[in-house]
Amino acid sequence: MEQVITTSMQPLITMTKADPEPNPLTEFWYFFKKNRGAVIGLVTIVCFLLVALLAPWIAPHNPAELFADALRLPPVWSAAGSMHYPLGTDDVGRDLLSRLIYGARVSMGIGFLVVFISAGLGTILGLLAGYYGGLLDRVLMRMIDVLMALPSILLAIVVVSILGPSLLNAILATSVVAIPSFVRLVRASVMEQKTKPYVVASKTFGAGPIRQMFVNILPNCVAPLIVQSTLGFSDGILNAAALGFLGLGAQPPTAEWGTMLSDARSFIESAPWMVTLPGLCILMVVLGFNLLGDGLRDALDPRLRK
Amino acid sequence: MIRYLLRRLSVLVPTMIGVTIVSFSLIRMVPGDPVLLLLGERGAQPEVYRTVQSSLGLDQPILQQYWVFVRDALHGNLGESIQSRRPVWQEFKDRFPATVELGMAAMLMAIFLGIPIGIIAAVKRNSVFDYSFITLSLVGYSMPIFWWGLILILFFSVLLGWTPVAGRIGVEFDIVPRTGLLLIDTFLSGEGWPAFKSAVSHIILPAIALGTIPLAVISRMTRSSLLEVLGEDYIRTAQAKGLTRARVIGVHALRNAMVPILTVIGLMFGTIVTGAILTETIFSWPGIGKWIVNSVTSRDYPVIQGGILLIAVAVVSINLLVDLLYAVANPRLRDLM
Repeated sequence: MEQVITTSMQPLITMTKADPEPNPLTEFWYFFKKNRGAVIGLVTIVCFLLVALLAPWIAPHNPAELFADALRLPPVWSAAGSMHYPLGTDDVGRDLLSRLIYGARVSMGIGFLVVFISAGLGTILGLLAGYYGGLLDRVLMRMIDVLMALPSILLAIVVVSILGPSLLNAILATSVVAIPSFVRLVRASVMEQKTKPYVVASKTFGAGPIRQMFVNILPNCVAPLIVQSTLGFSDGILNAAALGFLGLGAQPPTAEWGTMLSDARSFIESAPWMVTLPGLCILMVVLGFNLLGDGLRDALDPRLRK
Repeated sequence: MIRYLLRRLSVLVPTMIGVTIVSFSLIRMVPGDPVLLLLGERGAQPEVYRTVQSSLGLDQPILQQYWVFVRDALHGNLGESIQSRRPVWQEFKDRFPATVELGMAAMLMAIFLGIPIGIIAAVKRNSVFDYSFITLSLVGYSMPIFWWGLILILFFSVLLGWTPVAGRIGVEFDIVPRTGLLLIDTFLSGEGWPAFKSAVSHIILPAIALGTIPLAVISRMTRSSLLEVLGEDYIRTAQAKGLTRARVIGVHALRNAMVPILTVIGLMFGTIVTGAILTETIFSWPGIGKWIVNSVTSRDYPVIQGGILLIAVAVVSINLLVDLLYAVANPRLRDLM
């Protein structure tokens, strides 16, 4: 249907049927793929995710199997290396490549759990604090201040020293550390949305607090939450690996990258590949999530699109 | 200014109460009996048990216990280490300067390299330098420093043999601590130049490892803040007045770009404390980070408890100091805070 606005002389503006609203996903992808760093980050993460999922099928050996005849064998590109153990073996003769592959499983799992726990709890607390305000808000925010007064690793150390060192406790500790940023983020968006006409209108129609918080307001805070969750993955993986490195996280023989690094420290002179490779994996995954997070922030925030 | 200071201090009170509660609860939240924990798994005679229990005040009501804990803490009495049998405060005092020295070295490196690098990247926007800077700063920002420290050791100590692997100074030097900062004490003592050189060669790798993330963050912030300011009208005015490029950037632009840079520098102190825990463990640096990690592994609960409290106080004080400096530097912001 064509509508022509005319003046006495000639049509000035021709209003054709408006272009259909672009699908938000299509629009997002259009802006996202222009950011080369973000695409590199996404590809890196997808690769590690595939490795993690397919670990039992692609790992050449069992990550816990000890090959007594191949202690500290260097990777294949050095003269003494063997095709049988492409990235060499560690001090007790375990295949390093297989351990790194299974390590991807551990680290991705850690990242997922940490984000799930911290984003979940943080969102609920942020919604409550932002929506109700008042005393609840003040008490919650003071508690968050206390959590933020302690540096992240130190706070994780407190949690681990209470619960004892293990992979699960490291995940819990890392999640606790990550909660404040989610609470603050969601609280700030809720306070911004709370006064918007759609929320007020919904209230006059009798929407209860649960509906207001979770159905009306929350979907409008999703963009920053997605960005923060992506960055939460990298922080979670990094902090859990740091705890593993300090001997306060995953315990040997778990194939966790940080724990592997801590084992490898004493062999830095005789078997440097045991040190370089696990750390490189951590760096790549963390870098991937950071790149992706930056790209998502740019693509999801209309103010930054230019 | 006084009012601002008072308001800032009043916000601190609930935070500090919270920190003391965390520290106080710690030993009481550990599964199992804290008295048996202190006495060891062997178990103890009932009378020894009761002596320890009452010496710790654990037979008092919980509020009373908390009050005693806070009162003692304010008097600098934080109990004594199970391992060394020395007061926790004494242990902390001996180690704190080492961490301050390392943190300061890292921070100074990050500031004095980061700001110039960020300026160059902003001025030469979209050049090869700028692109390599963006890539490298992202890598630096994502760096797992416990690995980075090992890589530095591998390259500079193992392969090149330039720097020592651990400690603060060569064993042949016996420096009397005066300030606690070895880089200064070596001069105050008679040992002079060789001792100073030894101290520098010991601190350089840990300082690089610890300073990498702040360096990346500060230089990134310098670049983006300066780029934003360079688009302002008053910069065009300054250029139109015929001022030299160096003056426009160095004086007009940089002064206005400084606010977010200072903010981010202030935020980096928390990162430094976190990083120090890891860096000190890697380089066997005898500071509070290594101390607290060792105390967790050896389950030395009085040290964990007191250490957490002291570190939190240190971090909160540094943040307060940074905020105050920040308010002095920007009178505009005082009313907003």
